[in-house]
Order: sequence, then C-alpha cells, then structure tokens
Amino acid sequence: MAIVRPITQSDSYLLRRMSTGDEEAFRTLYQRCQGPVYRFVLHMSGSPAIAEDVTQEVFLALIRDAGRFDPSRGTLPAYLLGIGRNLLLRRLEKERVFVAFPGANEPDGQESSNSGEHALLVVAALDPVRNETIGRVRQAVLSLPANYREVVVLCDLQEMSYEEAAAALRCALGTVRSRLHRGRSLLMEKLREFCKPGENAAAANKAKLSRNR
Amino acid sequence: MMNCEEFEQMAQALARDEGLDVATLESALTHADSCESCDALLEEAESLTSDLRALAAHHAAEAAPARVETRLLLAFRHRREPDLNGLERWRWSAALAIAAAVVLVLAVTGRPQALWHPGGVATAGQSGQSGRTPGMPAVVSATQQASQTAAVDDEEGADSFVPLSGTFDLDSLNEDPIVRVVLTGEDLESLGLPVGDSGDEQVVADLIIANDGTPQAIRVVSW
Repeated sequence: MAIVRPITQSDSYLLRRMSTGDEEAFRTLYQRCQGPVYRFVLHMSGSPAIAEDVTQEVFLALIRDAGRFDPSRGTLPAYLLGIGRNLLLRRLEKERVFVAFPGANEPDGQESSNSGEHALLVVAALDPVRNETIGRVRQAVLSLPANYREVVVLCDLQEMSYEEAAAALRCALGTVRSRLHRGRSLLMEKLREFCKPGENAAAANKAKLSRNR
Repeated sequence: MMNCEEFEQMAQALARDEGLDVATLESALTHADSCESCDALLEEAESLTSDLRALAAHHAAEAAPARVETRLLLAFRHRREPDLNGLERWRWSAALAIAAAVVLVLAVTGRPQALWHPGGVATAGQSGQSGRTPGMPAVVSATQQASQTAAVDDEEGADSFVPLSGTFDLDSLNEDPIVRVVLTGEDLESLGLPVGDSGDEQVVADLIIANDGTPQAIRVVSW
C-alpha cells in the first residue's frame, strides 16, 4: 500500500506562484502567515480593529511587491512581521493610541508611550481569576515602551527564536536578548506596582489559587 | 560562586528555560538557594513566564476576520487585471514602435514613404510640395488628404485586405496596426503584386504590419 505523504509547499515556492498570478498560492500564504501577523499587532496595540487593518495592509504590500522579499535576510513570516511592525508604529505615532496603566513610570529616562486612551480587549468571563491575571499581564505588556514590548511579544508571546525576532525587527541578536531582559524586568516592576494598592482582590485570588495547586 | 548581580543578569534566562549550560545552571540555582532575595526574584520571573504563556494561550486562536481574506483576494484579482491590461498596452506600443521603425527605414532608404497616421496619407510628391526636409516623411494636410482619398471608400472592411502572407488571419485585423503608405511599382513587385506597364505608377495603400514589422496584408486606397 502506497504511503501518501502530505506535501508542504515552501513559502518561496508559493511566493513565486503568487507572482505569476496564482490566487490559490496567495490564499495559502495568507492563511499560513496571517495569524502571527494579526496576533503580533493585537498584542502590540491591544486593538482588534488596528490588528485587522494592519494585517490587511501587510498583505496588500505583499500583493503590490512580492519581489521585495529577500529570503537571504530571513523567513517570510519575519519579513511580514517587519512590515506589520513598521505600519503599526507609524499608525500608533499618527493616532496616538496609547495605553493607560496605573503608576507607569519609565526608568532610565525612557520616553513613555503609555498614557491616554486605549481600547482594551474584552476578556471572556469564564474564569475570573485567570482572566484577571491575563488582563493584568496584557495591560502590563501594552504599557511597555514599544521597543521592549515588541521583543516581549515576539519572543515570549509568539515564541519566536532570537534569530527570527532579530530578522523581523532588523536588529542584532544581542539587541533582542538585552531588550527582552530589560522588557521582562520592566514587566515585573509594573506588575508589582499594579498589585501594591491594598493587595487587590486579583492578587489575593492568585495567591489563593497558587496555594490550592 | 555566583553573586547577586550576576544572578540578576541570569534570572530571566533561567525563568524562560533558555537552555543554559549545566555549570551555569547549577551555579545559579546554588546561589538562589542561599539568597532569599534572588530566590524571590527567580520565583517572580518564573511567575511572569507562566502569566505570559497564559496570555499567549488565551490568544493562540486569534486570527484576522474572514472579511480580510475576502478583501485581499479581491485586491489580488484586481491587481492582476491591470497587469494584463498593461501587457496589452505594451504589446500595442511594441507593435507601433516596430511599425514606426519600418516606416523610418523605408523613408531613409528611399523606399515607399509612410507615416503612422490613422486615416492620414503621406506621399513623396505631396511631401515635396509641402516643403518637408528631404528624406524625411511629412504629414499631409487635411485638404490634401481629402483630395487624395476622395475616390476611396473609407468604410472599407477587412474583406478588402489581400493577404501577403500565408499565415495571415483576417481575425487579427484588430490586433495589428495598419500603416498607410505610398508604394511604387517596384515596391508592389517586391510584395508579389501585379505592376502596370509604365512601372512608374504610385499607389496609396494600407498595410497591416505584424509585430515583427513584416507586412501581412494590403488594401489599395487609391492609385
């Protein structure tokens, strides 16, 4: 009996097909890459509407000029994330969509981009304790300065390697490593500050949950 | 043995389980066991890792709405259409450029003088009268054109073209450019057409020029 093996077409192959007008190739590429792009922008902006817009713009850019992708400089997902990142930063700069977070003070004279209005994501109320934790961490991530936030999102939330993140951000691997270290330290500080006022209910619940484990 | 400062640099990598070498890992854990604040720091960093994983898992299934794919597929199709139109335009431009080159070569070499002019006529004699630069084709005025073509039915259809090439297809009439030229008896002979006794006659004709510049069919306009 013959063994049928699934054939996975490479991104480069699909990209070539797409360039010749193959709609199915484009659809496959889109379905393969849209998730990481969408989630990256969602984690970076906290806004599903912005994530939708930017994802669309990223793939429109690919339709317009697929030839700009250079495989020697990284993978296609990293390339698309790079486009998404640039579009998002431009948009955030233009629209000033910022995150409010209690007691957010940037160390080392870092310019804060964390005040003002922000569209918070809706958390399904299936598990109030877990959801409160998730909401708190999400807020903390959103309150990070963009250069730290993006490495935390890519490396911790999207589980990309340092190499992939460096390709997406077009920076050195050491920069990713040091920013991740700094970003996580900032996150811990923010989460600590968030818990300070009277040891709020969420923190208490979390502690209770930890004891019960 | 590792000190607190060194441990702090290591804490996030430890909490992320980055695969530190065994010696470093042992040294860090030994330090954490003996230092309360560093132990707390490690615990906090591990808790952060856990929380971030929970956040990632919470959004793991998030994807762009289906309407984005629909819009992009429309854009993809739309994008292809202009490309095809562009190709078509390019083909026309190339054909016209070749036709113009043929006309120029004919003009320079003293062969039948022609111009690309939809409905217009250029003849050597008339050009001379209009004071054109010797050797260069000139556009005939509307009056001249009217008199020249007075006896001609401008609405002549494709049927009036006589194929000069065995491969010519009348259906391609709308694809290849038509060039109006003035031909001498010698030119007509070179095209394999019958020539009058005098041999010095001039004939105004329309030629269908293929992409490679070769005449495909002829229609006599006046003689």
